[in-house]
Amino acid sequence: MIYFNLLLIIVIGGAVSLFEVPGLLQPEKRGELIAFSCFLLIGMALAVAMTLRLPVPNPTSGIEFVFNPVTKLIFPGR
Amino acid sequence: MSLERGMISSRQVMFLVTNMIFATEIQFVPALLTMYAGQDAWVVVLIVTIVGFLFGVPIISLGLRFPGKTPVEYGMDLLGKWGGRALGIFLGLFFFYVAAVAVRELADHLVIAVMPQTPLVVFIALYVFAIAYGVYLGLEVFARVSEILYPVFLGTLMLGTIFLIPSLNLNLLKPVLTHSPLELLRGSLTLLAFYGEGLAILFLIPCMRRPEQAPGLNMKITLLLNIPLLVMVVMEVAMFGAMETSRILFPSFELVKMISVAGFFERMESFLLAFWVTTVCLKVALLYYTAMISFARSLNLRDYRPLVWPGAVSLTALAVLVFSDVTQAREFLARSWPLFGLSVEGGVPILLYSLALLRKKGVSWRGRQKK
Repeated sequence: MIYFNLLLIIVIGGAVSLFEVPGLLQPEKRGELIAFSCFLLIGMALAVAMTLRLPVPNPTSGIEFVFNPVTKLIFPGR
Repeated sequence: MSLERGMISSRQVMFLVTNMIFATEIQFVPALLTMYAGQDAWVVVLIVTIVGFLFGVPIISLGLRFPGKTPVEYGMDLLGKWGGRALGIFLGLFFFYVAAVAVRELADHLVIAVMPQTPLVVFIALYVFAIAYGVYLGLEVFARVSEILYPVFLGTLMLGTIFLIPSLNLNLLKPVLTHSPLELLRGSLTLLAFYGEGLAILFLIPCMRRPEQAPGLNMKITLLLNIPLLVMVVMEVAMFGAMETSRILFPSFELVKMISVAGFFERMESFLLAFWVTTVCLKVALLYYTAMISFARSLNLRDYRPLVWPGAVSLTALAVLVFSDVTQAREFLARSWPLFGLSVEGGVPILLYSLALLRKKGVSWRGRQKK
């Protein structure tokens, strides 16, 4: 099942690239191409890491941790 | 040079923003309000009507000070080039995160209440696909869709609740005003954090065909939002009682389930769910569009469209990642989200507006009219 999911992620990434990259292969669109590649790489890396069940940090837990001192003051634990 | 060539009318802005706030508010807020303020939840809604109206005044006048410019562009004027870019990336990440939270809330709802056998990621992926397609087509497209669908949604919801009036028990609303100001404040903060997502209006004002119609918008949006919410909150308390409403996960959904006329006109909740799927889709489209515009502006790109599809891959992954389960979602929305949301939603416009006044950048709306 993991291999199927990985294959699916790669197929989706390939489809997005096929759809978008031909229009970006012009010298004046270099910035767009770099931004596109970075965004796609971040997304694929996240998806692959979660498929392989690597410990990806949860952003919500981070926010909860940062705001915890103030949260405790205004919303005391129930 | 603007990233968006499409133009929208003031009515479309009104429906887009109202739809954005209302879509998730109606799912979670009644339960959270009754948790903090019990049967006095309706007082909180009235407080937030006034505070929210005032909250909209600086935001709209900030947007009108810099005609045709997005917050990232005038952030660059006010904070310097790199400061503005950092602000743009930060705003983009914030809206991206809120979009992921909204997708996850709806997917959780669908899994829990309707289709428990389907994996969560299937809903999220299909949903994000539709959203990315809408955003790729541009702002005008989903603005028109929300202009058509949102009034239908609101009308059906209000019409449906009329059938519940005979089964309400208004004694459950008593005793009135027994909660302390602190408890009312907790409820108001929770509701205001949802209300503050309307910050996205800053990205819509530059696209308005007639920006001179913007000053009345905060009033219209507040009324359009809070009257239906007030009706829903009062009905939920009068139907289930305050204690029970705060325990139910999705009280509005349960309320609409109670509609039954002559044993024939029932199961209205499927309508509600269908409309929720569309309105949350439009909400996320707006949030996602805002995030993409601010990323594209900060990275100095000519077009935001190349970012839409790769961003959708990240949005899907983030939406799965963002909560471990619905309990964490509820705990987050009840406790950390009000402070986190309000500190960004309030902090960014106040920072920009005070800097604009101090550095005397831009022309105020009244000043331009006198010329």
